Formats: sequence, C-alpha cells, structure tokens
Amino acid sequence: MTKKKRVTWAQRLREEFLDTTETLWNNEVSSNLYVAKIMMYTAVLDLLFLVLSVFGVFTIRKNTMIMTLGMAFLELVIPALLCYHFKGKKKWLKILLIACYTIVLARIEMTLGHNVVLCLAFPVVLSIRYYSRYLTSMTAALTLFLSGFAEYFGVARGLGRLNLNMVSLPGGTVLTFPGDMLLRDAVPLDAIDYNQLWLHTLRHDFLPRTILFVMIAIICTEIARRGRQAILDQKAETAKTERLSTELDLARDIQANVLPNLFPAFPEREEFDIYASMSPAKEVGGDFYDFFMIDEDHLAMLVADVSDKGIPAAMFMMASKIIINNVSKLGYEEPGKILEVSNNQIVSNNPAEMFVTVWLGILDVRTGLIKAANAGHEWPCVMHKGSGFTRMKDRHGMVLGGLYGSRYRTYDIPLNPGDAVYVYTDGVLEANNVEEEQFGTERLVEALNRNPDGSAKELIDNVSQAIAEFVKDAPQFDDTTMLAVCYRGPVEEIQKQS
Amino acid sequence: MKINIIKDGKNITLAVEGKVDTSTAKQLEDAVKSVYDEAETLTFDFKDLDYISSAGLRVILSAYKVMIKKGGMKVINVNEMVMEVFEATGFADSMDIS
Repeated sequence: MTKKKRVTWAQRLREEFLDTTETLWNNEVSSNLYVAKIMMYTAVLDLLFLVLSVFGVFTIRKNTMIMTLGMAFLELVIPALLCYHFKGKKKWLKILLIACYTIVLARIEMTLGHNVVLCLAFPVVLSIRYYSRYLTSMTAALTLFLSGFAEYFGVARGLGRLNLNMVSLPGGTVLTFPGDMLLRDAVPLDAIDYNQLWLHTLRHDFLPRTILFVMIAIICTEIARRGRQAILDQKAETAKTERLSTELDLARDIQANVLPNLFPAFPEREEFDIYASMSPAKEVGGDFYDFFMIDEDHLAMLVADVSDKGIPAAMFMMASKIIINNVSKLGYEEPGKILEVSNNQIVSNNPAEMFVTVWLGILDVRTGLIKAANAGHEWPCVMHKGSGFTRMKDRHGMVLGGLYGSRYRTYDIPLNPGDAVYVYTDGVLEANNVEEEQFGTERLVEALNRNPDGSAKELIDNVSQAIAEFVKDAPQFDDTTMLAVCYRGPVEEIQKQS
Repeated sequence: MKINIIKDGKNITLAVEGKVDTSTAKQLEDAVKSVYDEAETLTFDFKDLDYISSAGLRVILSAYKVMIKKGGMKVINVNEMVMEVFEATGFADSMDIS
C-alpha cells in the first residue's frame, strides 16, 4: 500500500504565497498597486473627516476622533508609499497592505460604531483582487478578530453603544446636565455595568453581524479561488495556442522552402529568365508555383491553387507538388498527359475531396515553343514583343483531384526571342481594396504593360507594386502567387549577337 | 444563402439562393447529404445563385461523385457569372451544367 502524500494546509498556503507563476505574479503586483491606490483615496477621505472633526462637526469627542483619524492616516499612507516605492514588487507587500487596511478600518469602526460597520467588509472584498483564497480567508479572520477587539473597546469609548438600558442607577435618581452636554456624558461612569453592557452588545450586535460577515467572507474566498482557477486555465489555453502558432510558423517555413526561391534560378542558362513569388494571406496557404528542368532543353513551369486554406490546404499542396513534379519527369512530352496522370494519382488518395487548379507549361529552350495545359486555372498572360501583354483564353480542363479519368488538352504558345509569359493565381485578380473592389484583369494587364520588356523579376515587381498601391490597408483573404518567364532565344543566336 | 428542397418522387431538386462561400458551403453540404439516401437524381437549380466559391465547388463535386453511381446529377439555370466559374474550373466540361 502506498501512502498518499498529505499536503497540509500550511504547505499549500506557503506554496500559494510564494507562487511565482508569471501571470499570477503580474496580477499580484497590479493588485498591490491597486490596493495602495484605494488606501490613498481612503487617506484623503480620512483627512477630510479629520478636518471636519477639528471644527467639531461630529458628536464624538473631538480628541478621540482626531487621535483615531490621525493614526489611521499614517497607517494608510505609510504602507501605500512603501508599495509605490517598491513598485508593488515585493512578496510581503500584500500582507502589509491588507493588514494595515484592516487595522485602519477596524479602528474607525471602533470609534464610529455601527454607522460605519460596512467598512469592515472592505479588506475582504479588496483581497479578492489577489485571487488567493488563503489571503482572503486570512483577511477575514483578521477582520473578525479586530472587530471583536473593536467591539470590546468601542463599548467604552465609541459612539453608539452606550445603551442606557444597561445603566443601573438607584431609583429616583435625577440627571441634570447643561444644554450643550450629550446625554451619555451626563451619566456617571461608575453607574455603567460594563459586564452587562458588553454581553448585551455581544448578543444583539456583534453576533448577528459576525454571522453575516462570515457569509460574505465565504463567498469572497470562493470567488478568489475560482478567479485563480480561471487564470490558470486561461494560461494553459494560451500555452496551447502559442504552441499551435509556433507549429504554423514552422509549417509556413517548410512550405516556403519547398518552392524554388533562389534567384536567379538558372544563372548558367542564357536562353530564358524566370522569376516567381508567393505571398500567403494566412500563415500557410494553398498556392504554389514550381519550375525545374526536365532535361537539358525543357523547362517545366507551373502555378497552382488549392481549393482551401490553412494547414489542410498546405498538406494537399505539398502532396500535389511532389506528384506533378515526379510525373513531369517520367518522360511524357505533353503537359496534358502529365496533368491526366497526376490527376488520377491525386484523385485516388483524396479523402478530404480537395482539388487544385494548375497551369502547366513546358518550354523548349531551343525553339521557344511552350506546350501548355490548363486544369481549371486562370488564363495566362502572353506578351509578343512589341504588342504588350494580353490574356490568352485557353481551354480549361477539370481541376486536379476532381474526377478520375479527366483529360486535358495540350496547346501551344510559340515564343520568339523577347516574348514573355506571366501566370498567376486568382488571389491576384481578387486582391481587394477597402471599398471591396477587386484588382481585376484590366489593372493586371495594365501593370504588366508598364514595362512589358522588363526582366521576369521586373514584371512581377510591377504587378506586386500595383496591387500594393491598389489594396492599401485592406486585409487580404487569398494568397497571391505569380510566375513570369522571358524567352531570350536559342543559346547559339545569343552568343552570335554578343 | 437559402436552400429550398423540392421533391418529385425520387427526383430531388435543391434550389439555392444567394452566395455559396466558405461560410455557407457547410450548410449546402448538409442539405445535399440529407437527400442522398432517397435521391435517384439530383438537380441544383442555381437560378437565384449569385456567387460560388471553391468551397461550394467542392460540395458540387462530392455530390457529383455520389450521384454518378445512381441516376445522375445536373446543374440548371446557371447565370453568366457563375457559368464563368464552372467553365474556368473545367466543371462545365465534365458535368451536365446549363
């Protein structure tokens, strides 16, 4: 049998008092400063009453009042100033603050009696701010002790408790007192039966009040306990969210790095110039581009857009990218065939029923001929030297991942030296400004034609800049991905010219 | 988005109004799933559909895959803008969309 480790009340108290969990400690510091502020406010009020007492506004003996309020003032201001001095950052401050505040209020209660009895609840209520049931229950205990003490002495010196029923004077006694004298001052002190008076007060005054106070204290303790639990729960939740966000960042890094992103990509190739960019709207997106040499003379290029966003789309994107890349290298000449084979592979393992739109082109660097196929993707923009970019309305096949056995038509884009092709995802067209207008095809073509003879990078930079100028501060919902290729001519001719 | 389910025996029509986007696609998916069992043929009436996003296309595609094994599926009364989407994504090539 294993002995269950018993944690004593004192151990838990110690643990909670010394707890340095960041959130709770931050809360403790701000609570210290808050209590200090309340004490300063109380001190101001205290000062006000002190001044009024000096002018004899109240019926209590002036000296008693000045003594009580003066002491209270010091007991309020000194701990509060200490707290400000340490900026609230001391473990013992909460005990000093709450204890002094309790003493002050008990002192005031002692002098002013039942008129201010509610003020005894202040420290307990304030202590909830620390979310520590031990602090709150200890405050309650201190308050009870001090209020008992205050009651005892208040009977003799305080304001209201001199119950004349408790005064035993011989029958026929006549009390005479001048007009400005209070009734209780006219009673000879030795006529008061203090034992009876104390017992009476205890039964009719202290007891019911204490029962109510204990109820308040229990409620406050429970609120403090639950508040602490809520803070700890929230902290655990935050930690979870943070972990998830770190994972998302990692996913974005992985995703960004599977795309060829070193430019110039083929510094040794003089026949063409290629550039591409992808900027995800969310942490991870479903867009991608890819380009690679299939053999010495053929450059494959593609731009794709997965039907969804976030982690699932990113995973689907990775799988699609690898499949298309592998199938491209199997020796099929026609992009249409590559898409057909890729589609069948993707469809076969697609439980989430996602799909991806793809434009795939293969450039023969010797002749400038691009063979291309389109699986539900945006129309490419083609520029023939001297005539500017126009959108080429090619024929679209079914998206990849949709239906098994879909076929894709291969078509030609013949390029001459100086010609270029620009492909993109719908995020470019759908970039929106604050007026909910979309960037659209006209602005896109216009941006491309700012400098149609520029390098591939310049073409993409021009579009990016035009989009940035258009959307300004509007939040973007879709990824934007672009790829541009400029054909310079067969290597022999380029060398001949230079 | 609003969906009206019209039943003519085992021929079921879903008349969809408004926009099908990421936030409403689930609603359409649930409606489609609820009629799979009894439907022999399924028709989407898009007379009052203004917009469909890729999330909506996914629902159409799933439905197509299920219904092709039964009595078939078609999409009718598609407006010009939505038709452009169906054509651009190749759906119009593979399915009965008019």
